[in-house]
Amino acid sequence: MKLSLNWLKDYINLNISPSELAEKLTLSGTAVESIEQCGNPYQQVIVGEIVEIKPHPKADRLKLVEVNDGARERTIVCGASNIMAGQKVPLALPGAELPSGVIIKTAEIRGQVSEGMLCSKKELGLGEDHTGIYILPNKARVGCPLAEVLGVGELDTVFDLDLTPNRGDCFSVRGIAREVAAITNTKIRKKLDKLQLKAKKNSLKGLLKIKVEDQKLCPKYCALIIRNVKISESPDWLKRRLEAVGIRPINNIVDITNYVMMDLGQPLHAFDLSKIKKNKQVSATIGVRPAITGESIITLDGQNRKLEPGMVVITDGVEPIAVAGVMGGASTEVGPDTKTIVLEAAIFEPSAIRLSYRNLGLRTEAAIRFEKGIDWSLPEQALAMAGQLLSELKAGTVSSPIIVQATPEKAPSAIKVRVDYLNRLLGTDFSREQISRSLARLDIKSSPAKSDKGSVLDVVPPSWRKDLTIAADIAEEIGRLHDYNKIIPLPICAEVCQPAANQPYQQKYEAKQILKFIGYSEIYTYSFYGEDEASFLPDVGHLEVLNPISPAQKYLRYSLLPLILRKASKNLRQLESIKIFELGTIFKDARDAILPREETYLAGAVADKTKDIKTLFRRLKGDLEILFDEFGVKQISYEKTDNYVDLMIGNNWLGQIKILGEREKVIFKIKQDMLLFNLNFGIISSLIDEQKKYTVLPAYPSVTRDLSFLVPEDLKYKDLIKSILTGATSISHVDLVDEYYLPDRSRSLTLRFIYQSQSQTLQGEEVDKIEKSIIANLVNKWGVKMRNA
Amino acid sequence: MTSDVIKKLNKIYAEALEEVGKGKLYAQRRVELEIKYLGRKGKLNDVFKEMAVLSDSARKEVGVLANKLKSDLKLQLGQAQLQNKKSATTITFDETIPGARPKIGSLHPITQFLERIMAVFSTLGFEIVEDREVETTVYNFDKLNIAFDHPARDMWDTFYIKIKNKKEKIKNKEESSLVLRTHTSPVQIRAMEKRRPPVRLVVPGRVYRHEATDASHETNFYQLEGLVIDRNISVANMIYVLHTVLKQLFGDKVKIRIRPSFFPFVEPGHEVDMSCIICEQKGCSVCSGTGWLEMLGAGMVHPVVLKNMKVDPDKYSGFAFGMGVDRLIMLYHGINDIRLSYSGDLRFLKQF
Repeated sequence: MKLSLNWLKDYINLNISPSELAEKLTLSGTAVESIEQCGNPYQQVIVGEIVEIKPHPKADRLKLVEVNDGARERTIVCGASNIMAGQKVPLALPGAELPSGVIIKTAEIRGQVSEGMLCSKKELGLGEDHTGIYILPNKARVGCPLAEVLGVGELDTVFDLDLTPNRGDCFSVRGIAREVAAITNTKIRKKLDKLQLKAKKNSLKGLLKIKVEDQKLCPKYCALIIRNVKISESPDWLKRRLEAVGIRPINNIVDITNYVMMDLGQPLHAFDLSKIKKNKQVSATIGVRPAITGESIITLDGQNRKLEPGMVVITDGVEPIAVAGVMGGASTEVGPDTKTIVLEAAIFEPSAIRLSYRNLGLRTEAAIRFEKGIDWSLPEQALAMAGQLLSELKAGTVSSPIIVQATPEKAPSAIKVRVDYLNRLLGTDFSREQISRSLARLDIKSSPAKSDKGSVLDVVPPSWRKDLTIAADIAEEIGRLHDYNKIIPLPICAEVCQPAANQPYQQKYEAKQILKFIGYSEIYTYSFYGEDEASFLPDVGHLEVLNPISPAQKYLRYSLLPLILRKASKNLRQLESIKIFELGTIFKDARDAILPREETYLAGAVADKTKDIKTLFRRLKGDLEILFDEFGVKQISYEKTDNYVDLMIGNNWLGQIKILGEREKVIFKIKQDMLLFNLNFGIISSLIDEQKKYTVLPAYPSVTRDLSFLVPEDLKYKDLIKSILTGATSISHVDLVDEYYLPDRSRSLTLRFIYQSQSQTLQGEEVDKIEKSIIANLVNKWGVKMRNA
Repeated sequence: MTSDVIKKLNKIYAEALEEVGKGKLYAQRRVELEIKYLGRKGKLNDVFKEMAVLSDSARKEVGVLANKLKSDLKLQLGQAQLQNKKSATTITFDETIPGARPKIGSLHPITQFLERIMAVFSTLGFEIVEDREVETTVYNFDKLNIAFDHPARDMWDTFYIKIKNKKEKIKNKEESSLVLRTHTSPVQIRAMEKRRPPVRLVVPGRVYRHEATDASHETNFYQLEGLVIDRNISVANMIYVLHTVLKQLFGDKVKIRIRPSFFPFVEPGHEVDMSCIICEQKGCSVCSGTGWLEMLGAGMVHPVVLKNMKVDPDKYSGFAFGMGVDRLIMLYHGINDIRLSYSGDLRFLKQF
């Protein structure tokens, strides 16, 4: 909300600067986002006094004028001939914007720096005279804004306030004035309860009937009838105030309703009474009722709006004439011909107003205030103020008392506040009296509760403080008035106990670390994607976002892979090879529960323009082996089907390695071969066993021998090794040294055998014997051929 | 006799030294010399044989000398060989050439920063808790004292999730809406379903806001939530803990400022500002000239929320806080566009 300082001064004497006030407001909970000067048509144009005039060394027609700006002397290059020392002149400082649109800058003119400009009347938009500088009256104070000397505009400071939704009472000048009074420990000036409307003899009260159908939705409805309405422009002071707080002046009636709303926080609405009347009846009816399905209304902005149950409407007894608390209807709009109006000031059920403006997408200034709750006594005050203004501005004649239709007022209930509770919550040591004194500054009444010997206060907040309901609320009031920054910080006194370790969190970080050190870069992608990405996983039944920002973000990710592919594709425009991964949450619909299943996956992509799929696969598999080894996850089997390889431990599916298909290459604009991996990190996490077991070191030396085989195309390495190790003694392990394919597609494998006996040093002859039996076995069983034999 | 033997020994020793000094002593030559002079059948041992005729005391004298010469010679041999090695291993190379690095990857700056924060909180005895990202409105709002029709709900722009086969699933009206969590705060409630005070926990995680993205707004971002509940926990404790944590993360010089604010799940509620680390409060564009940076939302856990956690507000009190991690890393690393975080651009990610 915008706050005009001049307006605020109606309520309170300020003896602090705007920036000090802003600081105090901010530290007491009313955040000031920005401070702006306004109402000055001559920003940065001030009164300067000519001290000395010297010739310009390089130009005969120009002069160097030394001008006192109130703070220092500055040199201005000037060509006018009517100036002399001692004169007061308009001085435009760098940054000033003149009515012509010219922006003044520090400039160099023929080798001399000019720190501003002296202005003629024409340059200030004050006439056609441009022959000389505008000479100001001698009494003008040096350094004073020109606007003040000329008596044009009204200088004002406007604060942009970031108000919190609990403080509905602050959405008005008076509300802020109360805050300022409390934090500066002063009193506010204007006493509104003394505002009285002069009772009129010929009251038109009988002209209007108010019918509130549901008093829950509208606990209070007040109206005031104004006759002899003369629609015109508002006076300058009123327009200026509205403009300062960002409201466009329209006409006197509308401006007055807006002025009262900004001043007191009570939204008002003006109906043209003649347009409410039905069939030339003498009296008019204003009704308040819930909207009915199928109803609609054309609002003041010309839109036809469908109404729905739950919203509240104002009617002419039958048809809606306004969406209560949100916007009036076009059919009863005040226009140039309006003669009699009804001013409405009401209190509506906040949740109904919320529903209306949300479903209509119409968050008006009125709705913002109604949804936060209106102080019970406000409607009458607001109508009184509006009536008075209308009379003052001769915009019409108040022709009725305030007509009120209301439920009984609820008596305020006291909040019990234990002094020790308050101090314990804040970490302070306030006495009961100190607390009471602070509360009084906020118009909060407090007295020692009778029953508790002074350790408990009965606290009664004023009617406008609907946010104060519990003792903690009162603690906050004390804290913010005292200034939280004056509370002495205290370490927590607690029992020393070991926090439970979060294994999965640590494991995730560990996995990321391992991957980093074997060459992978971690990426983060969005948790949602669009149709193209979803097509990567057809038929899985993606969860959908009801209100996506764009169609490209309509599905919750079922897999990390689609967006990893997007990022891979983008990076491969610049890079030859990539290794990327993401560790994140994926979402699956749960059949029998509302909440989806969320699983943690570790997925990634590898590509290298210089490597074929077989090489890429071996490298990726090697990387994953390192990860699994580090985690002590053992006995993983790799099972290939078509274009993917499943990683299994027994019946546990750990994940998959997938060769990027041709169709996907097109969708994701990827030209080269790529492998993807996708691991269920939750499962891996459950299998992690980082406690490594020691194996006794061999007591006897080992013997290392290499053998090269030509193996049939369909023979799997795993089966080959199984055959070798079955029944073999003294083979400690077998490593693959080299693999390559011959032109006839048969495969050559070079294996390194480490022979080791537990009981003796192996002799060459014994190893020969074992080797021979291995070869014989492989030749027999698989048709393996020896190379270089 | 004795002097003869001694003379002989000295002579052999001198011969040996002369031979050691001749040319470079490679390993093989060393072995040869060792055999020649020190070996079982070596020259020094030959002299020993002549000692049989000597008196006991003379033998002792000669023995001491012989042993000394033997060990001296061994030393000389060793040193000579070492000398030789030294000169042989002088290899010239350019020590200013860049190191040949194994290719390593990188961790996302948010991962790294979160880890730093977690380490700080761990030392303060906080437990790390994580939980789900899709939530019911009950956990995301209602149990946190954010009623459906309260204007405070507008503080969070929310993504809603379509519920499949809604009719079959909904058993009680309470859980009728699904959202992407708008903050990590629902984890407070979930965590307290399994815990009793005293608790100190910290919750990192991804959260979502339905808003237009720009250099400082993202729809996906990371938050860090903290919760402390114990007897006699006060605002003074909260200030102490938060100041300590910010000092650990940004340096001992940082100051903090507490401003009253409003969040429905705390009362009193606060915003915590930190002195601008960029300009040290001289005023800069990052702090908009104010010298302060908004860092955290915080406050004392609202009694209604405590009750929703089945914690007795008369016995226990607590504070909670939350901060946006993306903003922290932007500050820490001087990143000017939050969207880079989710760009997957390796030119960006590899810098951290």
